[in-house]
Amino acid sequence: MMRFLLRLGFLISLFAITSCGSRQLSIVDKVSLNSAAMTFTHQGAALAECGLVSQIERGRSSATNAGGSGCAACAQ
Amino acid sequence: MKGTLLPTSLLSVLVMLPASGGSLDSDTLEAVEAFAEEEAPRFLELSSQRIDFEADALISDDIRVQRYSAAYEAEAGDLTFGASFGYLTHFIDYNPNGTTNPLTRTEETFQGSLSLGYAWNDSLTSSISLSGYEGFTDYRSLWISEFFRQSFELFPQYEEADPYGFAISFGNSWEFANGVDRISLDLGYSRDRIAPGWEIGGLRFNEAESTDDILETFSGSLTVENYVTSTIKTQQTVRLSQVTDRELRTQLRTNWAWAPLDSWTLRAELGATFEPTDFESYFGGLNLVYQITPQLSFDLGYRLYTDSGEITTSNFNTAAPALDSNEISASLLWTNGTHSLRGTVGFYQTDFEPSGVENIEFANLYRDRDFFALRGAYSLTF
Repeated sequence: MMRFLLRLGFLISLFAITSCGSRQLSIVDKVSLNSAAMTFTHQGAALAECGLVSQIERGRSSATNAGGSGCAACAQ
Repeated sequence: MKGTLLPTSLLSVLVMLPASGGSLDSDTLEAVEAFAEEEAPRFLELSSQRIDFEADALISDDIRVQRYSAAYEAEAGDLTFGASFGYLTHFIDYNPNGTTNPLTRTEETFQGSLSLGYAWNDSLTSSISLSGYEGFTDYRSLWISEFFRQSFELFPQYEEADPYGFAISFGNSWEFANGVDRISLDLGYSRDRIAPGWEIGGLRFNEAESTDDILETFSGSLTVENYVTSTIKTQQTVRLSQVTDRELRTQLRTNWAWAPLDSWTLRAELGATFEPTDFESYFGGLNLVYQITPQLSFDLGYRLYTDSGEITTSNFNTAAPALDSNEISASLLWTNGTHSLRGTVGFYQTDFEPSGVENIEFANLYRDRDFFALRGAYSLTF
C-alpha cells in the first residue's frame, strides 16, 4: 500500500514540477505560500518533530535529517 | 542590493598587496579607504539574527536519549553565517540476552557545526557547512559496543570504542522569479570513526581483531520545491548516498502542504529508501496545523514507518530486524513578535520482527518498545 502511495505521489509530483517557475504570483499568495505552516525546512521553534526517532528509523529521511548515511552501528 | 560577486575594492587590495612588497602605495590606500567607506559597512552590518535553543528527549523504560542544542545564525549583506553546538546523553539499562552481564551506562556526545552562505544574486545562493561530533551517535551503537567491551576486554588487542566524525557539505539553491519555486543541489562527504565490532582472529584463538572502524559517506541530493496552486505547495527530493563497503542507497521523498482555509494547513509526507540487495523502507505521515490565534497554533501529526531490516549475513551479526513503527504527536507553537516557543509531546511505538539465531544476543536491544518523544524549542529573531 505504502509503495503504491509513494509511486502515486511521485507521479503527481512530476506534473507539479512542470509548472516550476512558470507562473507569477500575487503578493498575498506569495506570503501565504511562504508562511511557516507551508514551509518544508524548519529550524528551531518552527520544527515540531522530535528528531531523535531517526536513531531508530534508519531508512527515513526528512528535510532536517538525511537518514541512514553514516550508520555508526552497522559495522557487522 | 544583492548581486556583487566579491567586494571589488577589497579584491584589488589583496591583489596589489603582494606586488607592493607588503607596503601600501597610494592606489592601495585608496582601495582600502573605498572598501572601508562603501562596502565594509554593508558586509559587517547584521541585517537579521536568530538564536535557537532546543531540547529533545526519547524516553522508554530502559533507554533515555536527551539532546540539548544552541544555534546562532546571522545575515550580513549577501553573507549568512551559522554556528551550532549540541550535547547528547545516551542512557541504557543494558540487559543482554546471552553471555554478557547487565549494567547501566551513560555516555555523552558533543556536536558542533559552522556554516557560511553567499547570495550571488537575487536567485542563486551557495553555502558550505562543516560539522563534527565526538561520542556515540545513537543508543544502539552504545548497546552493541557494551556487548563487545564485555566480550573482548580481556584480550590485549582490545581498545575502548572512541567514536567521532566530521562532515562537509556544499549546497546551491536557485529561487525562481515568483519567489516560491526553488531547486537545490547538495553534495556531502562525511567520515566517521565508529564503534567497531570484534572477533577472534581466525585460527589464533588468543587474539582478537576489530572490524573496520572508518566509514566514509558520499552523498548528493536534488530538491525541487514549487507551488501547484495558490494553496498547494510541494517538495520532491532524490538523495543518493554511498557508504564504505555498502551499495548505493537511493532515497525518495515527496512532501505536500495544502492550506484550504487561512487557519488550516494539511501537510503530507511520503518517502522510500532502497539499497541493494535487500533493504527497503517506506514511510508516510500527515500533519494538521490549526492557527488558533495569530500567536498560537496547534499541530497534530501521525506517522508510519516500515523497513525490511538491515542487510545481514548468515553469520553472527548486530543488524536490526525488520521494523514497523508509528508515532502520534501534538504540538503547540506560540509566537509573539521576535519570540517563538514550541512544545511537542509524541507517543512512539516500535515493533521489531523477532531476532534470529544469528543475532539472538541482541534480542533485548531489538525488542518492541514504547517511547515518549518530547521536544521544547525557543527561537529569537532580531
